[in-house]
Amino acid sequence: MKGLGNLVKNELIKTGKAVYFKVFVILILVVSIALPTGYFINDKIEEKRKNDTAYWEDEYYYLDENASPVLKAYYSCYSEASRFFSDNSIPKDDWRYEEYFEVYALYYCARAKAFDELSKGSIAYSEIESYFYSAMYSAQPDANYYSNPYIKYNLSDLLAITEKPDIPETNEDGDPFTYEGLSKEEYVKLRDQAQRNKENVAKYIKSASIVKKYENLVKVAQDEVKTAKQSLDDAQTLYNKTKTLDDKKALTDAKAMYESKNVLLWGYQQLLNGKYEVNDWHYSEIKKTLAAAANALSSNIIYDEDIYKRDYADYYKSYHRYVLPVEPAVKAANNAINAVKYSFEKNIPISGNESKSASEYLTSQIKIINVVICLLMIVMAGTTMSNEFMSGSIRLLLVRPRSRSKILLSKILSVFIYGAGLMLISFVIMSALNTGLCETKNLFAKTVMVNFSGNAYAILPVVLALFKCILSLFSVNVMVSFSIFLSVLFTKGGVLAVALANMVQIADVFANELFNEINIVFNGLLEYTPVPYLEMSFYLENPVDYNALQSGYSASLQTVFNPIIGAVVVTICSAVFYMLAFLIFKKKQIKN
Amino acid sequence: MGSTILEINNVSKTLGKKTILNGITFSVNEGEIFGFLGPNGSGKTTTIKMILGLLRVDDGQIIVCGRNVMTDFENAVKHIGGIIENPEMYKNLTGRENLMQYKRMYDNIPDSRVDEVIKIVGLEGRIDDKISKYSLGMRQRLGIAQSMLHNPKLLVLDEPTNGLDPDGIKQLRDIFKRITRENACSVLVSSHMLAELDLMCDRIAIIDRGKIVDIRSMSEIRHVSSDASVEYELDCGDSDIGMFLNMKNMPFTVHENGHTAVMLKKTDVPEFVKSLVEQGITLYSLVPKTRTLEDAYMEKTSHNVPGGVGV
Repeated sequence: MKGLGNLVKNELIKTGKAVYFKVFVILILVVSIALPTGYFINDKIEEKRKNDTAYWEDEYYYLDENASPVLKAYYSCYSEASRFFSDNSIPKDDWRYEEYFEVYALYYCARAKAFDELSKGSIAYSEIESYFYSAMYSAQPDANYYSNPYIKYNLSDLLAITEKPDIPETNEDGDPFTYEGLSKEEYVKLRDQAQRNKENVAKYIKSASIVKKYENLVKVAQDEVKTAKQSLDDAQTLYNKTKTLDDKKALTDAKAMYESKNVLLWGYQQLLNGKYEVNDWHYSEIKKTLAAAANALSSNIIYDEDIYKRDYADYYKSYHRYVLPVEPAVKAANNAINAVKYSFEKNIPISGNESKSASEYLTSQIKIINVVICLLMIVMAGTTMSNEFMSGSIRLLLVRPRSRSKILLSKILSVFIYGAGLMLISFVIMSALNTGLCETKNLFAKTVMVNFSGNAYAILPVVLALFKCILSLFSVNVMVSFSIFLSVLFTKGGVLAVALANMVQIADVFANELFNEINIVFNGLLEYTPVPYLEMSFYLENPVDYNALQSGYSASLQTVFNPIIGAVVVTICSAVFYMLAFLIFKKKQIKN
Repeated sequence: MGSTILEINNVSKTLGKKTILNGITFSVNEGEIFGFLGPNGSGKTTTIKMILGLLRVDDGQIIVCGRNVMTDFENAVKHIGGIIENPEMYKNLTGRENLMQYKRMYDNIPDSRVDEVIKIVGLEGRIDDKISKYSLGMRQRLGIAQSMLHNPKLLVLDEPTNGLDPDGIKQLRDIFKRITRENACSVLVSSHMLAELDLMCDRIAIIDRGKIVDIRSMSEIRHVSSDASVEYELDCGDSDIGMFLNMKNMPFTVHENGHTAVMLKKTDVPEFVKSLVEQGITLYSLVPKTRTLEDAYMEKTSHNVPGGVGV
């Protein structure tokens, strides 16, 4: 490739001197610095706000009438309590503040109200609600929220209480008092200890009672597994005898339930073995991730074709379409379970589960900056050729002993060199800033990811981030090649090329919403278009897809994604546009 | 003259439905300055664009230094330097940076060559300014500089004196004459400036409506061969040359300034002067009227009719 190096150098110089390019570069550098700084400042503000009672009021008032009833119920408690304390000028070191606000409002009332809402049938469609949903349906002794002694008081009645009331033996239903799985005696002992040590009662008790809590969890889970096994055996026996479709369906359900309960049991046993603290990632992986996955397993059941034909064929029109809404949830559940098991085996946290960590921030910041960089690449691709035609410099460019193919290739290469270079620079800046500013500096601490076959593996966050950049550079070929093709075809239409390419790029952001219906109509054919793959790095998000971990039949259709198909589609589309561009340019006559 | 640098063999070109060029043939030899002349729309620029590879050759061949421009473009074009009309370069870059851009598109041109061509076209003072600040003439000179960077064997120039002042035009003429002499470089120049071509070219091709109508050397055009009869203008003062010429049966005309014009072959001049003197006719001056390029051009082209359809 004689002379290609110099041609690329020429293109880099020409583009580098362009005003729009300099503006973009400054923007990218500023954003690279601003994002980590902004995240850090935002965290500090949030921290400060959470120490103010007003924070909870804001959270509540932030919810408009379209907000989920579960969230509204949850936050209403906080809001009510915080207003109560500020209206009555009860200071933070007052026993009523600590016990009441911490224990009542934050732990029981809010969750109780949320659980109430859920039992009324409110749909859980956010991460926090999924958590309530799974908490509600898994055996948790602290779901005995009614055993709190203060729950029967009105807030205003609290003002009249000067002494802490006695803790009742039982709740209204006659169940013995339990708090964090503790009996009354255990609770009182720990409470007094906490007060002697001048520690926050709720936190102290929570911490101290953790083992007890885990023991309870395991016990309940074991009972549930036993029950589920019994049901499974019964269903199997029945089906073996009758071979009816109804019994087959019941057997499928029983299998799913048994599997789900086993998963939970395994999880709680890990917690008991490790005796992890509540703010430990191990705890949240079991209580949040695994619980949601187990729930998804039991509620997203794919029946076989015989059952489908009898029960669902009228509605779904084809087996493939019937399966389509449910498969992502099942896949996500299995991925999550694999991820958690691997994570515990290697003692490495799952990617994205350490909130406010450098790696999590870097992931989300890179996502933002790469969109800007890809936009710049599309603009460069659209203008590099059309500028030559519009200014007339093409005439002097082509009268050289270099083939037109080489000239066009050098322009394409310069686009990618700048794109990759800017991604690298912003990556380095943001990595350094995040490591410096975040408390959890884990860019070089392995995390768990799940590959597309569902197998878990460990990877360094920096390597993952770099890989995402490579994926972005790979996917942007579709838009870059399209831009180049348009700008060679309509030589005076560089603006058209850029506008069209950007429109398609932005449409990708809405592709899930826009094309959901098309996907249903065309049996999931969106998978075979370039639209879902215009930014393949988006699919390397956290290994646990919480959106998919919900009741599949009522969830909206997720875009099906297969990375092999994606790679093939991107390659073919790009190759076609590049080839057309090269052909057109080679044959083009310069009339003006 | 040496070998043939450029051969245009029976070349035709159609753009859309219109035939721009219809079987044109001419060649340019080593070391000569070849003028390409024709009315607007005759096909001059189209021809030049085809030589430079900007337009496809529909029929026929264009050979540069033995290489076919269509089938062996890179090897052909490395011997050619050219500009079409006003050379457009990169406005964000300086003159020097623009030259470096083009220098990098060749193999083995030393940086010193860039300084050489800058000096040749006289842009030393402004070469490091952005060309957006250049005047038209400066841009033209820079265009010529880039065409010479690689020491081409053939310079193809479309209206190179466009925008230049008389000084600049003369400078350019001197540059061309020097490089053809010193570097055995040939120049193909198309222009409307007849006077300029007249002063500069060795040979001329005249094109009209897509066809070559005449190819001649300048000396042929000026009738300097001894065989041709040329008009001579005589200043004989008050002497009655008319009677003498009538006697000799030589037709003559008398101009307003009193001078007499008569057709003579160059070889007959000494004898004629001798007979004038013998007849006692005083002769103050005897000046041959040189036929100009304009004469030839006007003769050959349909300049009264709207031109052809070339670009």
